[in-house]
Amino acid sequence: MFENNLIGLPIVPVIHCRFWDEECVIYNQLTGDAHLIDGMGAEVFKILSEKAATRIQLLQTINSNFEWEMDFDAEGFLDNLILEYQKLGLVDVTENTSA
Amino acid sequence: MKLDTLSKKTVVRALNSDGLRFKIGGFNVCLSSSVPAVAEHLLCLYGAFDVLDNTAFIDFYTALEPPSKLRRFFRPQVNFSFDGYFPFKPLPYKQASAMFEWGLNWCIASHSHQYLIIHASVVERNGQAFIFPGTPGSGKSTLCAALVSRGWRLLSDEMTLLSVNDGCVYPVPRPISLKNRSIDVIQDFAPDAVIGEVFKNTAKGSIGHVRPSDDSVALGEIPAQPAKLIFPKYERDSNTVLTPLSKSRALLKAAENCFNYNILGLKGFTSLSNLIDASDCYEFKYSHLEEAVALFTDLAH
Amino acid sequence: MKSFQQPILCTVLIDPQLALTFTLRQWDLLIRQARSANLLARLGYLFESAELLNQLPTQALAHIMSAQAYADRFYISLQREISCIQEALHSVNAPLVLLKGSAYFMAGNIAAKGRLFSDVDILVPEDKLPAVEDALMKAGWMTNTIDPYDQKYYRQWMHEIPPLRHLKRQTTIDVHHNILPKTTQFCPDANKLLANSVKLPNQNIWILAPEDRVLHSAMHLFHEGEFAQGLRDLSDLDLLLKEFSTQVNFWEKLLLRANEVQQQIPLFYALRYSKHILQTPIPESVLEASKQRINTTLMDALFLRALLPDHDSCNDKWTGLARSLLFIRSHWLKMPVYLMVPHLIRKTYRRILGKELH
Repeated sequence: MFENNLIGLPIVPVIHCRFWDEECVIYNQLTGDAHLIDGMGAEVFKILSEKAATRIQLLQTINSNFEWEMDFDAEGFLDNLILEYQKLGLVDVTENTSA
Repeated sequence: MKLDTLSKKTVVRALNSDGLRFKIGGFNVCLSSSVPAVAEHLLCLYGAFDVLDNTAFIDFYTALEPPSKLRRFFRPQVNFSFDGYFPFKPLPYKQASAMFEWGLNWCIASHSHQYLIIHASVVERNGQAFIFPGTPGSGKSTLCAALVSRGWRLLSDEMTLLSVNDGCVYPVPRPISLKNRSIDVIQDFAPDAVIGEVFKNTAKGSIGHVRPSDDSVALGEIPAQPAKLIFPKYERDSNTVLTPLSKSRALLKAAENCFNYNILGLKGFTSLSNLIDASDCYEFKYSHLEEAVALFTDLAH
Repeated sequence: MKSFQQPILCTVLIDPQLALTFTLRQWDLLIRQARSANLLARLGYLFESAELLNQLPTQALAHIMSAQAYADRFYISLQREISCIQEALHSVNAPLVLLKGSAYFMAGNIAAKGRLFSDVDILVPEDKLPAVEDALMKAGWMTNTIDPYDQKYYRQWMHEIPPLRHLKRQTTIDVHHNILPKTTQFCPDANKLLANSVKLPNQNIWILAPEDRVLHSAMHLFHEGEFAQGLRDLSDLDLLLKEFSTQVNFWEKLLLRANEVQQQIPLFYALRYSKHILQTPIPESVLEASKQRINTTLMDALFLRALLPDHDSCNDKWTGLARSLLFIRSHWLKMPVYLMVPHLIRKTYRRILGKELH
C-alpha cells in the first residue's frame, strides 16, 4: 500500500495546522472542521505539513522517534492513519513522480 | 454628557420620540420605546454611559414596543426590533428591559464579524485580559461580577470581542446578567453592587443585572491584550482548583463557545489559535468566590 | 415618470465616489438601507474595487467588513455545495446547468460579488427530472414539503420541483425544468435556453448564455411577487448589463433573444428601471427598441416604489399598496384566474390558521 506514493497536504491550500507540545489541531477550511491529533499521529502530520513524504520515510521517522511493544504493528498503524487522514481530506496521496 | 445627568423626564421623552442615543464601548446604540420601565432600567444601569447627539453614526437602531395596542390589556407583550426587523417572538411586557439586553446581544453577535465573538466574560487587571468562556453551569457571570466588584475592569460579561485584525479584546462593558441564586450571592459578596430590577419567570429563570463600574464604562474604547483563557466550572462545596489545560484542547473547547467561529472560517481559526498562543489556558473548579478572586488577583501580578 | 426621490443607497451604487462627501449621519443611513436591501457586502465590493475602502469612516467600515467576512464564508460554502451537487449528479446523463447566483459565481461575473442567497438553482431537461431527483435523494437531499397540496401544486403547475434540503448540510437546492411556471402566458421554451447554454472552461458545469442570463434575471424579477430583494436583483441586472455590454453585438443579441423566447416585456422593464434607478449606461437606441405598449404610468408608480430598499426611509404611504398589487400581479401572470383565486384563498386560509409562519 502507498509503496511508491507521495503523501502530503492537498495542493489547494485548505489545510492549516497548529502544533503545541505533542498535540496538533488541524483545520480544514473547506468543511470548517477542526481535528485534534496527539502522539504519533501529530508527529506524522508535522512531517507531512512541512514536506510531502513517502511511506518509507514516515516509517523511518516514527521508528526513530517512538518506542513501542514488540507486537505493535507500526506499518498497519501508519497505513490506517494515512487512510483516516485521506478520508477527512487532510492529506492527498499522489504518485511519486520523482521516484 | 453622561446618561446620569439627564432627568427621568428627558430620558422618557427621548425614548418616546426619536430614540435615546448612547455609546457602549465601540458601539453607538439608539433605543426607542414607549415602555416606561425601560427608562428606569437605563437610568439605574447605564448611568455612566455617554449620551450622543443626533449627528453620531448609530450602529444599532433598536426599539421595544408592544406588538399591538389591542393586546395591551390582555396578556400584554413586547417586541424587540432592529431597524424594522424582528428577530424574536414577543415576550411578556414586564420583561421589556431584559429583552433589550438580549436583543442587543443578538445585534452585536450577528453583525460584528470584524471580531471573533466568544461566548465568554472578559475582565482585565494590570493590562491582562482574563477570558472565562461560558459553558453551562460555569458561573462565568458570577465570577465576572465578583472580580469587577473588587476593582477589575469589565470588558464584557456576555461576549468577548476578539479583533481578527490585531488580536486584542475590545470592550462592550454592559450590565452583567445574573441568574437565579447568583443574584443573592453577588448581593452578599458585594453589598455595594447596584442590581437593577429582577425579572422573574423569564426563559432563563430570574434575571438581574449588575451595573458596570464607572471606570469600566469610561475605558470602554480601550482594548486589552488576552493573557489567560480559563474554563470555569462552579461545583457546590468544591475546593478552588486551577488545572492547566493543553492548548489544543483549549482551542477546540473555545471554538465550541464562539458565536461566529464557523462564519469567519480560516480567520476564525487563525484568530483563536493566536489567542491560544498568547494565553495560558486552564480549567478552573470553584465554589468559593473569595478564594477565586484572590487566586486570579495573584495570577494577574 | 413618477417623481423619484433617489435613496442614498442608489446614489452610491451609481457612483461610490459620492459617498466620500457624506456626513456620518448619511453613512448611517446608507448602511441601514444597504443592510435592509441585502446589499451591504456588495457595497463593500464596490468600495473595494473603486479603491475607497481606506477612506471610509471607521464606523461604516466596521459594518462593511462584517458583511464581507460573512460573504467570504458564503463563497466557500457555495463552492463546496456546487462540488457536492456535481458529484451527486455524476451518474445522471445530463449537463449540470447552474442558474442565477451560482451561475454568476462560477462564471466569475461581477454580479456575484457580495451576492448572498440561500438556494442553489439548477436547470435540467424535463425528461431527466426523475433521474436527477433520484440521484439527489441518494446523495442525502430530502424534500422539505410533505404537504400534499404543495406537492401537487408544484408538480402540476410549477417550473420546478419542491425545494430539496440536504440532511446534513441543511443547504437547499431548487431543481428547475423551466425558468417560469408552465402556466405563464409567455413561457419560454426551456430547450431553447438549454441549447444556447455555455460550458465553463475545465469544468463539467454549464450556465446560460450571457443574454439569457440577463433575460432570466429580468424574468425572475418582473414576474416575482416578492420585492424584499428587489433592489439587489436590479443591481444584478445593472452589473450584468455593464459587464456584458463590452462584448461584441451584445445589445443586438439581447433584443433578438428577447423576441425568440418571448420575454420582451420583462426586458423592457429591466432596461427601463435599471436605467432609471441605477443609471445603467444603456444606449438610447436599445431603450427605444425595447419599448412595449404598456401603461407605464401605473407600472412606474408600482415598480419605482417596490424596487427600493424595504426600509422606513425609502417607503412612502403608497409603498405597501404597490407591493401588494405586484404580489397579486405575479400570481395573475403565473396562472389563469380559475387557478389563481383558489390558490390565493388557500394560502390566505392557511396563513390565518397559522400553518405558515413566513
